[in-house]
Amino acid sequence: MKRLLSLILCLVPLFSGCGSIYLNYKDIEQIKVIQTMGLDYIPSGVQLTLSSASTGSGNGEALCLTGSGNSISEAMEQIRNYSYEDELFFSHINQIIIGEDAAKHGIEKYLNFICRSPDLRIDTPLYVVKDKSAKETMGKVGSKSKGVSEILKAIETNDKLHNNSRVISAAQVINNLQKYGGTLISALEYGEAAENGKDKDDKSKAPEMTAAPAGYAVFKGPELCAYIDRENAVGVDLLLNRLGISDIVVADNKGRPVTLETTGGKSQVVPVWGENGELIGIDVFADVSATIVEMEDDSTVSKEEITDLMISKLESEISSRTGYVLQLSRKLQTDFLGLGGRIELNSPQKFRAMKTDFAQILPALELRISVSGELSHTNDKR
Amino acid sequence: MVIIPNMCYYNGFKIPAPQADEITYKNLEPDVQLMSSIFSGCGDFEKRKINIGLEGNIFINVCWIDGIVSGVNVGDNVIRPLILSQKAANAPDEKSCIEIIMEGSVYSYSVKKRDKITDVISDLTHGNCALIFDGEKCALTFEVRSDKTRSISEPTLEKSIKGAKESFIEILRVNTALVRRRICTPRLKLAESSIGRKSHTNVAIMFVEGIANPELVAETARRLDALDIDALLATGSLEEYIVDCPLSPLPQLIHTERPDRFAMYLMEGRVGLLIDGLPVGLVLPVNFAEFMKVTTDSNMHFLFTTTLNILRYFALLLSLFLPAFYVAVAMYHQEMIPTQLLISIIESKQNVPFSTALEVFGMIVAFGLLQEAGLRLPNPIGNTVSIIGALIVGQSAVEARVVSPIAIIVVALSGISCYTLPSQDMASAIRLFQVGLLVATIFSGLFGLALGTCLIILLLASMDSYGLNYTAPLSDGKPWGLFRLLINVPKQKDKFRDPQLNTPDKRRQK
Repeated sequence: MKRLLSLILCLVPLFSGCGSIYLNYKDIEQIKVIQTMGLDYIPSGVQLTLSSASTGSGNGEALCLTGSGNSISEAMEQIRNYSYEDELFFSHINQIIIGEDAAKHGIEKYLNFICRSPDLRIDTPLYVVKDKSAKETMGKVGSKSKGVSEILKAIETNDKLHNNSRVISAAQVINNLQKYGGTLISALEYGEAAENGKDKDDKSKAPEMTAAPAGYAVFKGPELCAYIDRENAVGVDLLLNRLGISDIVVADNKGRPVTLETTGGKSQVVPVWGENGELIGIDVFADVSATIVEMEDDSTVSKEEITDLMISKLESEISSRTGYVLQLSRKLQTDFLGLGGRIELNSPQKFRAMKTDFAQILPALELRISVSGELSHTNDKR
Repeated sequence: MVIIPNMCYYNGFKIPAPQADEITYKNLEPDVQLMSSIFSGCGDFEKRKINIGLEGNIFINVCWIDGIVSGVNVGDNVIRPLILSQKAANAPDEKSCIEIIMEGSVYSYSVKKRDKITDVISDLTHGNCALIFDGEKCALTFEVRSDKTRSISEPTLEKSIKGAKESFIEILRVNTALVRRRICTPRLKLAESSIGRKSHTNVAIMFVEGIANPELVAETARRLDALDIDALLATGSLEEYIVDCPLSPLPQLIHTERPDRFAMYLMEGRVGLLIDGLPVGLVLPVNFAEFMKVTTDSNMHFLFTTTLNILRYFALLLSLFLPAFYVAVAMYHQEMIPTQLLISIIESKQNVPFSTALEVFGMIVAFGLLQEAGLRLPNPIGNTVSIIGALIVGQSAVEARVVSPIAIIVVALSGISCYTLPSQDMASAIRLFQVGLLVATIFSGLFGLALGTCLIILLLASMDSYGLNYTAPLSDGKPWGLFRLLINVPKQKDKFRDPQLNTPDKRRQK
């Protein structure tokens, strides 16, 4: 009897009401791993596009499924119902692409769904497709061997090395919108893939399309309001203290192109307070280091006047790009750079005593940018 | 079948009829008729009537058991001196003759005078020959043990590169000598007892006086004395009777075939048991951590042993949890698998007709079958079975899409990890737990795995070995338990014996 009781006690946890664990069983070979989700606006609601990894669909090809509905869940249900594929598995969605129209109409409901869905991860990177819909992008980008999921994964990996534009997760977007009322999301564009030589002469074959980073999409509230191109994205990265390796082309004393590669940089935002305690301006101090990686005539590379010239050109370029980003923020009256947060960290009491919202007074603020450049290596061959 | 008194015949073999129990004759005096009756049906029992001094008037019976006694020694050291001894022959009566023999007329290094037949029987079965004096109702026994025994060989299971190359053999006295050669002190005590109503197996309790806790020694002796079994022929017969938790599959005694390791444990304050007829020594009390140590640890630098120790614990976790964890994530929690790995697993599982659970379970069974086949068969055939098994179960099964490669990798990795465990007893227990966890996981995923793990921890935590906590040092109430479990300190710093053993002499070095 004691043994029977012990056995029952051991089995009690299995009948404790956690019934979902039994229903959660899935044959691993029966699931279709969805890696990329696309969201588009349609007048009747949402158009949802799902894409699996090309290598995960059994026959080697990426799977692309589309459905629509009043909500994302409804669109998902439609795809499930009309799909002849195996069970769709959403827990491995690694990228979410938002079409431009959907971004312009507001991304709030999409963010809401990402937060609430048990299948999606809140740290999933978001992308906005410039001038295109998500469905179109996911349908055209990629090949049999490499689907859109792999391409976006490659972009994410490259971003860690060459961060002309950072990949921004849903969690960061939600956080920025709540704190600053504006945010940035990585922008994508698509075009023909670089020819690999093998298919160059095969005219009958349609060119492969690929996605590429296209700077940032700027959101004022939940709505898309502007883009920052790849060139000026360097300014964003510097202001967010995330500047990594980035190429900047300047001209030498004879007008020939010289490529400088940034190796690091940091910025400091210092508020300027008026006599009455009101914020009247912002001073941005930035330090940037770079190396010379390419120049036509390197016989003069070690000369002081050349290095001075390169440094001044670097400072000028960085100053210009940073200024552009700051001006855009001021023009849109959106603190998508999170300047308010940095000022609050600098002078918390004064910032909290401000009567007007920071974004409102942004256009009236005097902005001063001071960039200090450094050439860490000239890579002199001699 | 013809039945005659005390004997029955069946197909030409003499089968002894049931005898009276020892209890019925335990107080009887030695008598050659009685001896013959007791040993009736024992083909190896020999007796010879001799006349002391050939021309004397005293006749005695010499009895021995052939095989365990050297016949040459009986002839040279016992019978010849008796035949040639004029002094004994001239003895007026048996009593004087016994005194003369006791004084040294027989060339044996040991002589015992026995008044009870049970003592004589015990001596005979332990390699003595007996002179039965029917008139005086007593016997003299001489140790003339046969030296035809297996020589001391290298350990087969616990090999060591730098350590000693001796292992225990089946003779108790040789084994005790092997230990005594390593601990040359009279403080090494040896208490002997006979266990088994029928087998009368000699068991020696060994300990170092002043180091071993006297209560531990007394408790061990008490438990051995309480044993009432027919025969002690295997360590398992003893182990299950004297441990605290006989139902637990986890080992609670260390079995070692190395006298040096046995001696090390004695010097730690533990108690050792040696059983006549078995080439292993048993050590108690022990905790879980002891089963993860190997003899070579004491011959190596502490940094190496620490690394190996950590590796062994990692292997333990791998062998215990890997199959169950794989089944849990593959069946219930696919979101936990990194995307690329998940895709690889799905690809490898395409066209495999069996579910993940059945695959892994089947592979574990196949692995067990291969292992058993390899163990049971002679070495050359055993190796062939392993190779054929690996080819059939591995390559062919994958090619035929019967199992996925990932299932084979998981089970093989788990199996190999299990082999790295120093104790085979512990490895067997881990395999049992592994299957238990797998079954729990098949039905309820990680929830079942967590539940199974809790039950294992519960079992471990509830176990005790002669007052020593089985999960020490994790649960001895002192800080840095995990650190002390995994990290070996330099020998100069390791000054104290395990405080849990409660040794009178706590310090092992200055």
